[in-house]
Amino acid sequence: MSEQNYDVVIVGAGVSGALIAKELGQAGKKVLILEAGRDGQGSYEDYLERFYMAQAKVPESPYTPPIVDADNNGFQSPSNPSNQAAGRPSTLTLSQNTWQDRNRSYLDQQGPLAFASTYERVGGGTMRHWLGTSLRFVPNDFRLKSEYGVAEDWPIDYDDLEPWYGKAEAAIGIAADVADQDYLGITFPDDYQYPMPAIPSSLVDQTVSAGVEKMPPVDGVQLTVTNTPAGRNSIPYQNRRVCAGNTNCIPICPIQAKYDPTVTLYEALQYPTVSIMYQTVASEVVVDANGQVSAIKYLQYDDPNGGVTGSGSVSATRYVLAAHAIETPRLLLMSTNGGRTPNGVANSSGHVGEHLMDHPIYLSWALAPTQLFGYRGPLSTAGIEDLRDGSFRSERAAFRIEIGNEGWNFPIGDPATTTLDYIVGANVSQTNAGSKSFFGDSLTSRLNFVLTRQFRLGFLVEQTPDDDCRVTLSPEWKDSLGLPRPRIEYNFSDYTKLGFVAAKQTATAIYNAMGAKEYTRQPTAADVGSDPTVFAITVDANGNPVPDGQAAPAGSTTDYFRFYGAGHTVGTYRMGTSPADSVVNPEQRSWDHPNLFLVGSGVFPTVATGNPTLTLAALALWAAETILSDLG
Amino acid sequence: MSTVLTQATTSELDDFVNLSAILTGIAASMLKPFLDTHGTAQTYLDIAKQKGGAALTELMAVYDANRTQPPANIGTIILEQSGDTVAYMAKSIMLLWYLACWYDPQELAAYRADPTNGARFTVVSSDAYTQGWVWRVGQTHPMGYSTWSFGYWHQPPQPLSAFIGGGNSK
Repeated sequence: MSEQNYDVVIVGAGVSGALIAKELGQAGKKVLILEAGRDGQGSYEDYLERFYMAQAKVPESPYTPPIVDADNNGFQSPSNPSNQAAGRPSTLTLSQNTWQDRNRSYLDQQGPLAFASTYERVGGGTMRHWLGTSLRFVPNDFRLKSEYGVAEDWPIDYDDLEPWYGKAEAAIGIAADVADQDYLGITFPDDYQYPMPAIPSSLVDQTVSAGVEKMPPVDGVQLTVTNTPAGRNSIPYQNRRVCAGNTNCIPICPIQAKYDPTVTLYEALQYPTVSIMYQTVASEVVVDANGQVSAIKYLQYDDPNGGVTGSGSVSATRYVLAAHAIETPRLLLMSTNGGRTPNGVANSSGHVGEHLMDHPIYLSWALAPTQLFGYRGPLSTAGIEDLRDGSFRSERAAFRIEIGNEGWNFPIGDPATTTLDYIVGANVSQTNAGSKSFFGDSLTSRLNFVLTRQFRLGFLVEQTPDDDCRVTLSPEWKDSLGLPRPRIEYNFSDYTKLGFVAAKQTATAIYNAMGAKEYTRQPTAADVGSDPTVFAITVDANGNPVPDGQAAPAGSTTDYFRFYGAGHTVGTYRMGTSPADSVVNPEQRSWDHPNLFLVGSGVFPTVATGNPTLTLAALALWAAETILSDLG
Repeated sequence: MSTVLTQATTSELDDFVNLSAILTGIAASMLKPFLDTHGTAQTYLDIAKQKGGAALTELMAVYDANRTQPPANIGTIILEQSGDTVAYMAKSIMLLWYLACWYDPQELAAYRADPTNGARFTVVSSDAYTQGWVWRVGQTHPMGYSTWSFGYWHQPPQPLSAFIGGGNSK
């Protein structure tokens, strides 16, 4: 099959692709979306059923293809990505035993650390399992180099993006109060209002807030708890219900009160000129002799665990790759055009796949001195944003602090772990000294005591864009379509690691101010090098990092940290001001191929200090306007 | 004409529910409510029979022999004085009620000896997941199954007794 007459072909039906398709469809443009995964429509009940039955309720658990297979006893274990047509990474393959088992892990992980975030390949994309956090970046996020001499500046600034933030907030449907959000230089137009009133703060938020108000300043900053802007409904919006506090935004909101991109996708598909092909994996971006993209080749499959059943190519006036920050560089690097583009398409800079980033999370947890009733409300309703910017950024990574409403579910898999402790007689939770077992009223009262006092803080640390973090193609490992799987190299700079040191100190200070008892379980030296989610950092008496392999001077201290992925995959085709050191220009247009746009969080030069979704959605809307202008 | 509902029970199911109440600390009337639309008690009894076999028979025999004792004594006899077969079968049943998951008794014994590798289990059903008692002991709802309204999380929940009854082991 070969179709020639599209205005725009979009690869990927996630939030960027859906937003662009809708804008173009509204303008009457003929659009085709190629989506590697299956349609999400009509399968919501299947998603919920798969979530409820999952033995590990990880972010990917509801979606397709299933990330696990069951043995004869019903025990689930990671499925083999070599057998999958459109596989994806899984949180289940980050352990010492699985992260480099390529018959379990979709990613060909090279280390030295594990890339710990995952994504979806399904209609609606990775935002199917997003939390809903919709923070604007702070102005200094766009000028880390010029303000602090670190990493890169963006080629655009906050003021450039501000109008697009507003449009993205309307498109997604954000609940927040402007009065809470104008910190650290964030500005809004006069009389601006978010589309919906803020989501009420949880009792956890209120308890943490009362504690931090009593704290002395941290790095010269008085901490405050701030309500988090959220892509979830506080009033009916876009024909969807209000949040009922299912405490399950990740992996799936059972009532779709949380926005997901199928909302926009299905609106886009209402336009007669917009169409989509599911189970259609883009396999090559074809470039002609003039440096223009002339087609996108694709492969199709019927069985998610089967091989190629169809193929073809499509042509258009403009092309948009919106396949997220690992699959987009994978596609570009696969596109060698019979040897004419041996380094892939859009890659004259050599930066396609480079500077892979995330917000590695420092996770800490504690028991409050009074009941604060976690496991209620949305997963998170507030955070501490004050340490997203400050002069410390010249020395160490900034972070935001996310306050969790789900007890110790994230840190230790509760409430199951503590329940097992008290019934079986173990002490995995560390709250059952003596490993006693209980029954009757003593069981309910002890469990109630712990569960209603549990809370956690997640520190989203700003990782620097580094040369030793990249996506390439696995020379050995393929999917069932025969396409090479992504190969990942990943590590942290000392600057990033020093952010963890500050995060740990800040967490402990907050717990002390609250009178809470901390239970954060730190790894040890023995875990470094064996557990791929553990690293060490040694600092001297002046707080400066001691390089690896160098003897630590007297007075040095070493910390060991476990990190978690935030799902914020960023930076692998960054935007910049020069074709020599960036992949796209400030319009998100390939420097090399003017009719090719690369959108999504891969364009971010730095990961910044806010969750990326709102910013990438704003950028997608901006790109749509540019494409419309191109098309005339 | 009104419809009068009568509850069909068996002594076997009643015994299972009454023993479960002693072990879990949750009122028998809540484990098996009069209008039992989920049928969870019967489901769990069936699983315990199928998976536990002779161990369940042994457990129920211990219960039957001591049923006139105070509940706290019954729990102690079952969990501490009747051997591992009875004790771990009882723990498997407690975990059914709390987590809606089946943990084999041998799996639990191994977990107690060394929890490093976790304990394997299966989820009974999506319906059972939504009826897990651990959530109610935490004065909340199962993650992914709230029957409450917008904003409830801004205020404290009802007292524990509203979730699990007055307790059964006194």
